[in-house]
Amino acid sequence: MYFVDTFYNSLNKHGEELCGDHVEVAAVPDGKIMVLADGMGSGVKANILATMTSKIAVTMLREGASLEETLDTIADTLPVCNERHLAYSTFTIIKAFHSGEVYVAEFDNPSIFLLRDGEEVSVEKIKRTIHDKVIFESKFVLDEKSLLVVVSDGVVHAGVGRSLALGWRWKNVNEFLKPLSTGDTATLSVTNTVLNECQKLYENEPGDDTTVLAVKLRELETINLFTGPPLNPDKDEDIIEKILAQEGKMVVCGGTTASIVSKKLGKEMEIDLSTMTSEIPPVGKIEGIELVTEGVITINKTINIIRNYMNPEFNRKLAMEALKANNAAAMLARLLIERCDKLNIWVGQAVNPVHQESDYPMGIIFKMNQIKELANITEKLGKEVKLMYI
Amino acid sequence: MTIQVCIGSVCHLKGSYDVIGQLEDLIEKNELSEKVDIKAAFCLGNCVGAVCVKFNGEMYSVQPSNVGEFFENVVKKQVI
Repeated sequence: MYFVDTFYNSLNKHGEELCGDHVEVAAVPDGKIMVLADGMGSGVKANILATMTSKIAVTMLREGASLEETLDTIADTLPVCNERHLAYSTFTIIKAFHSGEVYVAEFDNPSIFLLRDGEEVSVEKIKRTIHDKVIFESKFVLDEKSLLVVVSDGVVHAGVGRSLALGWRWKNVNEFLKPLSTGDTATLSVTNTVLNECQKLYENEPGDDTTVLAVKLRELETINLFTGPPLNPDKDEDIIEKILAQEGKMVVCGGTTASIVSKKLGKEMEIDLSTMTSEIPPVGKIEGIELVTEGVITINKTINIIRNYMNPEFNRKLAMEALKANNAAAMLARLLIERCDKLNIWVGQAVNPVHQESDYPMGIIFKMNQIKELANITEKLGKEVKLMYI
Repeated sequence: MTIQVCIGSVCHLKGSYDVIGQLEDLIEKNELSEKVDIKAAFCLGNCVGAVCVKFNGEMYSVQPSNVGEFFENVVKKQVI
């Protein structure tokens, strides 16, 4: 049983507010269905074509419709362009199952990229004609070392007429992806690294809507993040016991919280001073706990690191440096990005009276909003997030 | 002997990073590294007195501006 890890992002054509590419992802009981559609033209028209195509495809396939029925419906539904007298959107459909099996149907998008541990994997495709559309179908099996990437033509054409006469081209994108398919590179990182390269090739003015969708498989991982002491101190013990009994790893954010966990476990807490910076307090170590950090200051920095990392327009080098740094906030960000599918946040509601003094900028309201922000941003990373107030 | 310095949220904002740095320098200057070491601690429970420092069983409130004083009057006297 694998978890289908997927992330996508787009650059809009320069000057356009709407993207003419659209990706739709739906979770189904046995895996995920993803559709990347690229509508004809750009702006509003393209956006409508791409959105309708991907939404119809995902919805019908999820309910068990055949590819023929789905294409029929799309053809009958798309509005016809007044200028071109055509209704047209390319698409790539992917069904990835928890077992690792994958089915792909491609229509006019750049061919999919399939890599495994730094090497290209060849895909056998079967050509089929459905309602005058030439569709290429393929079936293959992914494992934890595989990387599947789908792009819109804005990627293979990146830089046309600017930095590159012929654009980036499929085979060069394929080479670029090879090192990204080794090690633990998260799909988010793959997606944004490719988009950042496109942004450079386009000299910051993309000539077309540019979209990347990356798919990987891995073991499902759960993190229980415990922050803030529970409202009722008499219940500390019971609550900690309950959290410790949950499936997954435990992370503790907060000085007092860490102290009560260490007391309950009967394990001494050590502090690793090598991780201390003038901005971020150091990490602690308690046997059996994945990560121990200070609370508000660290979480605030973590949110910032993730936000910059997710933003394809943010300087990639700076974002990666911040993420790889040896401090508590970066460690928490790495854990959430790379090794977390489900995040349960256990929010203790006890108020530290000193935090409510007027010269202290991070009182209980700040703290509660911050946790919501952390939940939001982690959800945007594609993780399943639950908040539990204790 | 160990000097424990709190690095919880409040103490961090009140300058525990500085306090630890200064104490490290003072220990080295006075050649006491074999007798005294510094450890950080999460929340020593006295946020009102930030930055909280615990030494030889006693709690002290130390600021970056009076680390020298604390070192002369408390640490040195008990160590030497």
